Formats: sequence, structure tokens, C-alpha cells
Amino acid sequence: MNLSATATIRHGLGPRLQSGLLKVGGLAALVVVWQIVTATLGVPSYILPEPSQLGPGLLQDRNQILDGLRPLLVQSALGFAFGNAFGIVLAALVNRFATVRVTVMPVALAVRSIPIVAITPLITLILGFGLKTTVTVATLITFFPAFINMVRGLAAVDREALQLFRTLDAGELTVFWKLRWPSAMPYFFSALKVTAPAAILGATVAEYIASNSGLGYMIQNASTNFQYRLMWEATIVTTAAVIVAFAVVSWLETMLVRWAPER
Amino acid sequence: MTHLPSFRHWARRVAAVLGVLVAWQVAAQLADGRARAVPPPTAILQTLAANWDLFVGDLQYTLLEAAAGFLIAVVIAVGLALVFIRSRPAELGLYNIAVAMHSIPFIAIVPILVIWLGNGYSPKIAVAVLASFFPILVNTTRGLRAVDEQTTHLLRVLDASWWQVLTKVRWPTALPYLLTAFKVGAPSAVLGATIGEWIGSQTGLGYRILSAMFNFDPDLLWATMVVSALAALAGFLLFDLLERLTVGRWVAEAR
Amino acid sequence: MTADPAIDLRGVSKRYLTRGGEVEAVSSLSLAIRAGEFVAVIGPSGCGKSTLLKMVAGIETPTAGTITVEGGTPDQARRRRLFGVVFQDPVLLPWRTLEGNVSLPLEIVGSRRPERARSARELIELVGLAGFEASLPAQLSGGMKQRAAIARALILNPSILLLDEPFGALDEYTRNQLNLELLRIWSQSRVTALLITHSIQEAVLLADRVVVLTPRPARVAMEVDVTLPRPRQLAQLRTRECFELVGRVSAALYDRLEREAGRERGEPAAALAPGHLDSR
Ligand SMILES: Nc1ncnc2c1ncn2[C@@H]1O[C@H](COP(=O)(O)OP(=O)(O)O)[C@@H](O)[C@H]1O
Ligand SMILES: [Mg+2]
Repeated sequence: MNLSATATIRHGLGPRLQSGLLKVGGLAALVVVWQIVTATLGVPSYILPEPSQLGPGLLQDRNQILDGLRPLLVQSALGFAFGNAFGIVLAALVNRFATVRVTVMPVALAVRSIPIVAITPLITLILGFGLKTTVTVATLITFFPAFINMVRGLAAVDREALQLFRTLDAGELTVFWKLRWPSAMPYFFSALKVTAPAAILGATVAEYIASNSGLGYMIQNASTNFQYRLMWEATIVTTAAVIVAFAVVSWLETMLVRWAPER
Repeated sequence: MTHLPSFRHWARRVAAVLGVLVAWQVAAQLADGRARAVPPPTAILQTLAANWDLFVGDLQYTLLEAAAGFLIAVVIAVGLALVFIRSRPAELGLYNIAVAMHSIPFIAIVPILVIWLGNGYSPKIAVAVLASFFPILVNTTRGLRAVDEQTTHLLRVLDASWWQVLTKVRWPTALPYLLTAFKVGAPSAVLGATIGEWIGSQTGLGYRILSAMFNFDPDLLWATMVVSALAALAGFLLFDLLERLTVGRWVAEAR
Repeated sequence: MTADPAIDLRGVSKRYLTRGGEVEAVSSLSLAIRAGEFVAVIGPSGCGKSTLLKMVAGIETPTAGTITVEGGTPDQARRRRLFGVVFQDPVLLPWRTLEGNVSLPLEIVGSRRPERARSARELIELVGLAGFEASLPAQLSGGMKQRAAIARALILNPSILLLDEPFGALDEYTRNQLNLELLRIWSQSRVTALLITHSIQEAVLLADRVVVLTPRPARVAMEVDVTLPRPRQLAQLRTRECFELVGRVSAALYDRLEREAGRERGEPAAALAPGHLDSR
């Protein structure tokens, strides 16, 4: 690590600038290669569209894409919000009440490893097609990591800090808000970095098989109707939404839990 | 000695699951057919037993795809991780591409994969690769890097070669991380293969699941879910066992 | 003595480039260590001691100045495998047995298995761990692990032993015990030894010469020749001569702190310095 740091400095560029360039450069190179391959080999656009045509295509189809993006984002955001809210509240209860802990934790730990995306068909069967299913999938996807990590985070309080609060005769609420909650934030954000992208991915899957709105549905519909350009566009926009969600949460993390050592 | 608490944990979890099952059975019996979408556990078991041959046939497809996808994912991920630790610029350039690949909703590219690869095993294998390679890549890279600074200095003073450092220190250090990644990756590969079968397929557990859903056959859907959950669990347990047999000994003792 | 020093640092400086800017860890430091000499370096935490040792070992390069090790560069010395190193942590590989850990350097050099086993057993015996060859690191105590690290450092027959706070994490009893062991081993082999420590007593007990460094950036503040006769024993720690030596090192080490504290209280610094005990 040292080595590369000194090496970059010797080359004259700032190390941050250089690594930033490399990060962007990798993706840019991929797009360039993609463009060259598709253009020179004359790959049919339904197999692999040229990147240079995606921009104009997106512009042309923007109303359709936005009509799909809006429900996708609303459904993922609803599920994300519900999942986090339930997760946090239940974690607080588990932290506070031993009886809740012994009844809820074993079930939660046994159930949490079920991949929610995989049981989307089951949820569809129970709740039917539409909003209820998509939001439920996003909620469940968000809930388990939020809950488990908050339980860990709320419990991961430094024991001496807890004793300090006790000697100051602080009440449960004070301990919670001034000590447990901040201590749990790094854990919560590690969950968010998983759940924010996953909620969108889950909602997409649910839309694909159990809805008639949203980008997921649009991808499915476009592919069955041989509208390959639209299918590609919807796929790329969904991917972009996932990446943006991750980036936003990561940025929030660096802003809000700067104090935490890297875990 | 260290097995006791984990045994108690497991016992508690099994008890919890059994409790949920019993409650479920009672509730379903009381509902008496008004909640058709949620059959009682006994009905699911009956369906399982009655259609066993069907499931075995489905399993063969799904497991083959999952295994192939998992192996390919391991080769790609471990290879890439070695490139990453060898060259920082390569890592900076390639890591974001891996993140982007991982961010593609894999259900969305199933149609694209079908266009590319046809209707056979290949698109499902490809989804299994996509579903499992990222956690393996991340954990392997982290493991290969988990060598502490003083050990690195020791090896430099001994003028050890890159290859020696890799084989004698980095690789053994990474093994527990690798097995953890496999425990995540193997079930993910099963999941990926199943989802790959949801679309444009006539075989496998995924196909069975979606057709049961569209035909509103709750018993069959739940039973197939149980089979695929068991398949994913088998993938996990395989590497869990391997972990206990190999690195478990010194990892457990060192912690 | 006219022979060339085994380790010769001339005007050595080291600056690190960090996010926050440049950090000068070592500043035009000169120091010569004779072959077979035991030198202890002592200085405030973070002053640049480890940096100094890493530069001697050829795993960091100085920003300015030159280092000569047995007539060549540190890098050449490293490739000639002249060094044995012991760090504060024993850095044993947890999946290898004690014997496997001790023989690691031989494996890296590429020597054959029977020879590896023989040398490893010899050294394990030397550091008093016979009988534990097959134990895993997790089964050894802190002191035993550090003994293993010493054995590993010696297995290539190094001519220079570099020790970076090797006993810093141990309790005082174990530390003294290992100091005695180190003395015994060193007096048998008479390698050149460079010990970094933050214990004045340890420095005085082990070394021929104690080099006191200033707070960062590290420079030589004072050198103290340890005149205690060899072979050394723990009992010597209780002699008047030893008290005086410890006092002189302590005075040099705490010089700045004491002057600052004295300035705050408006007292003359000299009155506090224990180094003045002997001149009275
Ligand atoms: N690789 C490095 N990069 C940047 N700064 C470093 C590095 N190594 C050490 N330093 C800095 O140099 C100074 C001296 O460190 P070190 O030599 O480890 O001190 P010590 O005397 O405690 O062994 C410290 O301020 C430390 O932060
Ligand atoms: Mg140090």
C-alpha cells in the first residue's frame, strides 16, 4: 500500500486523482470496447445495442421509461421505508425486553437466510398481483438485514461507556438515544448498503412476475413483444438506479458515521 | 467444548421453527380452507411425498446448472481477486465493472441471456454465475489482503518472493474467508439457477415454481419451494462441513 | 577500533507523505553500530523508532542520507539474508505448528525438509520450548510465542538481529525472564543487535550502548555507554551503577517534558533532572 502511494506521487499525479481516473477509466474502457465491438462486427441491436445509440434511444423513449421508473422507485422506497421502520422498532424491543428477545431472535435467525427474491412467487400467490406484492417483497428484503444489524448494533455498546452512563444515573431513554443509537449507526449503515440496492432489485423481480407497472414489468413486456431496444433501456436504467441507491447510501455513511473505524 | 453453545443455539432455533410449524398447522386447520394460498404443513408434506419423482427430475436440472455456475463463478472470482492483489491499478479499473455487473437485476437479463445463449442450460448457468460471483470476489480479495502489516514486513526481510508470500501466507489466510464466501455463494448459485428457470424454460425447480404460481396450485408451489430451499441449504452445509474439516481447527482456536 | 561499523547511518531522514501532508519521522540521524555490539534505541512513542529499524532492514527507503549494512545497502543485506527480526507481535502463522513457524525462513530460502526439521528443533530447544514442536500458536502463551519468534529470527544464522519492542506486550516478569534468555542467546552468538524498546531498564540491562532519540522527528538526543560488566544478571539492576545509568537515560528521555513542565510552574528545569544525582 505504501509502495503504490509513493509510486503514484513520484509520477506527479495526486494519488486520489489517479485512482479516481482509474475507477472511471475502467468503466469507460468497457463502454468503448463495447462500442467498437458492436459497431465493427455489426452486431444486431437486439443482441447487443451500440452504446452510442442508447442515449438517443433513451431520449426518444424517455416518457415510457419514466412511466416505468416512477412506480419502481415508489414501490422500492415504500418497501425500504417499511422494512427499516419495522426492523428498527423490533430491534429496539428486542434490545429492551428479554422476553421479546428469546421469542423473536431464534425465529428471525432461522428465517433470515431465506432469499426473499426466491419466494416472490409464494408472496404473489398469497397477496395477488400488483402493488401489495412488490412492496411486500421490498419490505421483507429490507427488514431482515435492518433488524439483525440493529440488534447487533444496539448491543455493541462499549461496556465501560454503559457503566459510565449508569454511574451518572442516566435513564433507559437517555442510554438509548445517547449511547445505543449512535453506537448502532455503523451497523445500520452496513445494512443499508445491502438493502438499498436490494430493495430495488427485489421490486424489479416482483414487478417482472407479478405486476403490470414499473421497469420490471416493462422489461418482461418488452421482451415478450420483441421490443428489444426498450428492454435494453429499461435494464440499463434499472441498473443505474441500483448503483445510484448504493452510492447515495455510501455517501451518507461517510458523512454521518465518519467517526467509526472501518469494519 | 466449543461445540456446546453452538449446539444449544441450533436446538433453540430448531425449537423455534417447530413452534412456528405447529402454530401454522393449527391456524391452517382452524381457517379450514378459507386461506387456500397457505396450506397446512401436512398438506405440503403430502404433496412432497406424492410428487417425489417429479422433484427429483427437476432437481437434476437445477443442481447441474447451479454447480456449473458456481464453479465458473469461483474460477472468475478467485482469478480476479489474484489480479486485484497483484495490481492496484487493475483493481481500481476492474472493481467498478464488477460492481456494475452485480447491480444488474438478474431477472432483467434473463431474456437477454436467452437471446444470446438459447433455451438450454447456458442462460441459467450464466444467471447462477452472476448471482454468486460477487460475494466470492469481495471475500477472496479481503482474505488475501488480511495479512497483517508485521507479517508482511517479516516476509520482506526474508526476501520472500510474491509467489512464496501468496502460497505460504496469503492463501492460507484467505481460506476461511473463501469458505465463508462459498457458504454464501453456493446457495446463491442455486437461487440464480432457479430464477434463470423462471423464464423461457420447461424444466427445473424454477419452472415448476412459476407454473404452480400461474396455475394457482398452492400445495405444489409450497412443496417446490421446500425442495429448492433444501437444495440451497445443501449447498451451504457442504461448505460448512468443509470449513469445519479444514480451517475450522485453527480458526476456532485462534479466536 | 578501526574496523568498519556493521551498521552505519549517516544523515538519515525519512518523510512520509500522508493525506494530511508530510510527516517527518526521522531527521538527519547518524549512528554507527560496531559488529557484535548490542545497541538499544529508546525514544517517545511515535518518534520514528520503527521507521529507523525498517530502513535498516531495507523495507523502507530513507528520503535522505545513506545507510550501510556490512559494506552494502540495506537492500543487499536483506537479499543476503543477514537479518533476523522480531516484532512486538510474534506474527506466528496460526495454521502452522511451532516447528512449522520456526522453520518458515528456511522454507523461503528453499532448504530441504530434513535440514529444516533439524535446525528448527535445535532452535526450539535453544529458546526453551522443547516439547512444544507440534503445538499450534493458539495453544502457546504470550511469552512462548515471543520465544518462538526469537527462534525464527535466529534460524538463518543472521549476523544482525533487529528487535522492535519485542517484549513490549508482555508482563514485567515474563519480560525480565525473556531478557535473560536473550542475553544468554546473544552472548553465545555475538551477533550485532539493534533493540528498540521503551523500557529504560531493559535497555540498560541488555545493551552495550543506549541511544536516546528525541520526539518526532527522531534525532539522537544522547548516547549512554552501559558500563555494567558482562555476563549480566538481574541482580545488577539493583546496583548503584545501574541506578545512575537509568537516571542518565531517563534524564535524556524526559528532558523536553521536564523543561516544559518546569516552564509552566516557573521552575528551573535542572533541579528536577534525576541525571544530576550522580554529579552531586
Ligand atoms: N507507512 C507510514 N505512512 C505514513 N506515516 C507513517 C508510516 N509509518 C509511520 N508513520 C508515521 O511516522 C511516525 C513514526 O512512526 P514509527 O516509526 O512507527 O514510531 P515509533 O517510534 O512509535 O516506532 C509516526 O508519526 C507515524 O504516524
Ligand atoms: Mg514502533
